[in-house]
Formats: sequence, structure tokens, C-alpha cells
Amino acid sequence: MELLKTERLKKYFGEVHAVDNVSLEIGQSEFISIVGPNGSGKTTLVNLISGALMPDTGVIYFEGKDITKLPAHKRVKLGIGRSFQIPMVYEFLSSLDNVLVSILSRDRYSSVFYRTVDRFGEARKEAFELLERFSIPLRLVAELPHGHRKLLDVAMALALQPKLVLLDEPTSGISLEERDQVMGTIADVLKEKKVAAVIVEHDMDIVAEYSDRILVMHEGKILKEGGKEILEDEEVRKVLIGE
Amino acid sequence: MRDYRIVYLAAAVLLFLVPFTGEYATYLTGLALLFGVAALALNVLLGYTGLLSFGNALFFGCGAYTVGLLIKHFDITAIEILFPASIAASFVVAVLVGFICVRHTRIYFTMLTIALASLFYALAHKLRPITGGDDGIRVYETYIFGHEITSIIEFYYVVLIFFIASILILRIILKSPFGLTLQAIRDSELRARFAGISIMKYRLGAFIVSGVFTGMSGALYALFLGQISPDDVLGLTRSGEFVAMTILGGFTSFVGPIVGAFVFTYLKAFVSSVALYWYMVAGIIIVGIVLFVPMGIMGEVERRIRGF
Repeated sequence: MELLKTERLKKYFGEVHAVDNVSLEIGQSEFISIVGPNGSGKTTLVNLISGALMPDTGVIYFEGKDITKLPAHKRVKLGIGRSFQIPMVYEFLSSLDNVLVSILSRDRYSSVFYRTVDRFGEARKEAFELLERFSIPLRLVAELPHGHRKLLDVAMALALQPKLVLLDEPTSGISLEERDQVMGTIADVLKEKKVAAVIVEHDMDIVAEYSDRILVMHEGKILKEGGKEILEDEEVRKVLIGE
Repeated sequence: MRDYRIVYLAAAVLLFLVPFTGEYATYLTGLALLFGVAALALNVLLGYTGLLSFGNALFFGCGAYTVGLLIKHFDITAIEILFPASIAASFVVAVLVGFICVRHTRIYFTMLTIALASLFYALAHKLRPITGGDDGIRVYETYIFGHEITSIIEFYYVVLIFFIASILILRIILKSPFGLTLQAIRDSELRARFAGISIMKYRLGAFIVSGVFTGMSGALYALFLGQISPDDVLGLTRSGEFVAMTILGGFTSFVGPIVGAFVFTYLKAFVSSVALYWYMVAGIIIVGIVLFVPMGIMGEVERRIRGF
């Protein structure tokens, strides 16, 4: 059975058809890239699947269960994690605590109020290892540069050990030299934990290298889908590059 | 880390010795200790959850009036009954009020806390046969395990024990996964939701913690002072003072609100004794703090310690 399935998902903002009748399926540990010009509905689609937005019509199934009306935090508990285009992090906590919040939530310890956080050695160790893996320094987040915040956002999503993770432009704002390495680390973690991923990405080299399947979106619809060869498709090139 | 322990220990010893310096100092310090707990409880919402409550006197009054009403109408004078009863009452009120308030944030949350606190204030005022109206209730002849507490000094030690216990408990709560989750919600509600956290549940939790600790300090305030009235324990001014203490001491620091409560209480007593317009002086000080030391006294101290 597919991990996630959407049926005729629709989200209009007034006259704008942000997501228009999108039906798609995502398999277990599949790596899917969504590409398309600005305003083609990529982020809206991610928002619908993660529960940040509710669709006008259409149905979303996760592991066969209808989750269309489920609030975001409950979808996370089922195994859908996400990161954000503009990193969403906890400014006045350390990078370690940022990741720790996810780990404690995943293990259902968040509501423990009678033991201090230092007593959760396992969780802290795991958070520390995750930071190391992504080379994020242990510091107050307000003092971290943009690239590290971006990675931290991804690390916070992966710390939840989701079955499906939605990454909205994980490498934007990261220097070209570091991009390959960062994406490599993300892909390694995904493979290791058998996490399915949907990434929104503008860097076509990354898309071509890592994707099992590519979805091209245009004006809220899926224009084409397939392997990396579709990036060479006439119509796709026209939409992406605007030739 | 170790040197801080020495500071805490020294503070505890000093507080223990206060009654030897006379009744007035004991009275004043007792008040500061009670307000310190209330300010710390307010900061569970303000500093840790990012919610500004301008209605925390509601809980302070709830604790105080539970004590007052039980004495007035039921002749219950045992503190070991009065105190748990006021915990239960403030818990119930915090759940009910919290249920309404935590659905909103920022100015909407603040306005709701003011509105609901005003409602309780009005009730205490108008239900004269039950509450005594603006004459309030006299609280006297109370016993702890059969022993009548007569002197302010005995009461002071009860207050001191409550203060120390409250700090220790609140410290654990705020450093627990629950406390960390509150801070995460404060910094990014959206992110916290996508970490699988049910925001309302945690905000309500913070509200209850804040309400119960404020309620307990209100209950002891009634016992310590021996007299309560709507204006004193339920008024908007009381709520505002808790906020002022917290900001004065620094809401980014754990001990900030306590320091704020001490400075505020002593300063108020001193200024009131030499000048007429305490609130004018208080106003100038608060404006000065907000403009020049926005992190408050302890926020500034901690920043300097880190800097060196």
C-alpha cells in the first residue's frame, strides 16, 4: 500500500487556483521532488499534506487512513514531518534544545513536568548526535547564521523520525559549495531511517541526482511526472525556464 | 554553577534572619516573599509561554477569598484545610478561565484576562452578604495543626517555607520537558505544532501552574495580613503590580521576578513613607526600566555575567 495518497486535492485563494485537482501517491521510502516556477502551488501542496492548510475539496490518505480533517500536530504523531522555506526555529533556545523539543515530543515526554530536562540523557545524546551530523554548532539559535538555521529546521523535522518528511527548499540560502554535502547528509539520513521524502527544490542538479520521481507543477496542476528524463522534456523546460 | 548555590544559600540565611530585625521588616519581607511567588507564577505565562496576563489578581484573590469565605461562613480556621482548599479553588478557576483565555494570544489574551479578572472583582464587590463587599473580610485566629499562630514572626516562617518550596517546585517545572515545550511554543507556535505539540493543551497547563501558585500566595497573603478586600487582592492594580514586578526584575531570568518583587515592595514602602505619590514614582521607574534596561534588573545582571 502507498504511504500517502491524495485525491483531487483543491485549494483556491480567491481567483488563484493554488492547488487544482492534484491526485498523487507516494510510496514507502520514496524520494519525490516537486519542481515548478514560483507560484505554481508547490508550497501550498506541502501545506495541505502537512495540515498547515485545509483543502477546499479532496481527500488525503496516510497509510490508508483518511487524514483530511486531522489537525497538524496529530498528523505529526502519525508520522508526517516537515521543514519550512523560511526556517521556523525557536530563537531563544539553544540549537540542542531546538532538536530536543522534537525528540521529547516524539517519545511523548513533552508533558513531563516533574523531572528536569538534564535527566533525559538518551534524548540529549540523540539531539547532540543529530547536530553533529549536520555540523550545526551548539549555540543560542538567535546567534546562528541563516544556513545553520535552515539545517536546524530540517534536523528538527528528522528528529521526529517521521515516515514521510516534507522539505520545503531545504538547500535554499545555503552556499553552492555546501549544498551537495548538505543534501548528501539529508539523503543519507532518509535512506538510513527509510523515510519517504517530498522535497520542493529549485536546484535541478540536486533534483536529478536524488529523486526517485519528479513532479512538475504548473498553475496548481501536476503537469508531468516521471524520472529525471522529464527535466529534458520540451514542455517542462518551457515551464521551468520560461523559454 | 557552584558559586550561584552560595548566593542562594546566603539569600536563604538572610531571609531566615529577617525576623530578628524587627516586626516592620518582617512584615515587609513576608509580603515581598508572597509577591515574589506571584510574580514568578506570572512569569510562567509571560517569560516562558509568551502570554501577558493582566488579570492574575484573579487567582490571588481567589486564593485569598477562599480562605476568607471559609473562615467567615464556615468557621474553618485550620490552615491545613484552608490552604489545600484554596489550591483546589484556584485550580478549578484556572481551568475554567484558562479554557477561555488560551484560545487567544497577544493583546486578545491580555484583554480577556483583564475582563475576567474584572468580573470576579465586581462579584466580590457586589455580593455584599457573602463577601462583605468593599469592607472585605477579616481573617483571624487561624491554627496550624491545632497551634494558634499569633505573631507575625511565626507567620513569616510559614511564608518563608512556602516561598522556598514554591521556587524549588517551579524551578523543576520550568526546567522540565514541559517547561522547555512552553518556551518552544513561545518562540514559534507554528514550529511547535509541527513538532507534534498540541498548543492549547500546553498553554492551558501553563495557565493552571500560574493560577495555582498565584492562588497559594493569595491564600497566605490573607492569612499573613489578616484582612482582605476586593481592591487589595482582586483589583486591576494588583494584577498590574505583578506585571510591574516581573518586568522590573526581568522576565528572561528565572529569579528576575523575585528580585523585582523585593525591589518593588521595599521601594513602595519607602517612597510611600516619604512622598505622597508612590504610583507616580513607580511609573517613572517602570518607564525608565523599559527604556534603558529592557531585560530588567536580573536580565541585565545575567547579561553582564555572561559578557565577562
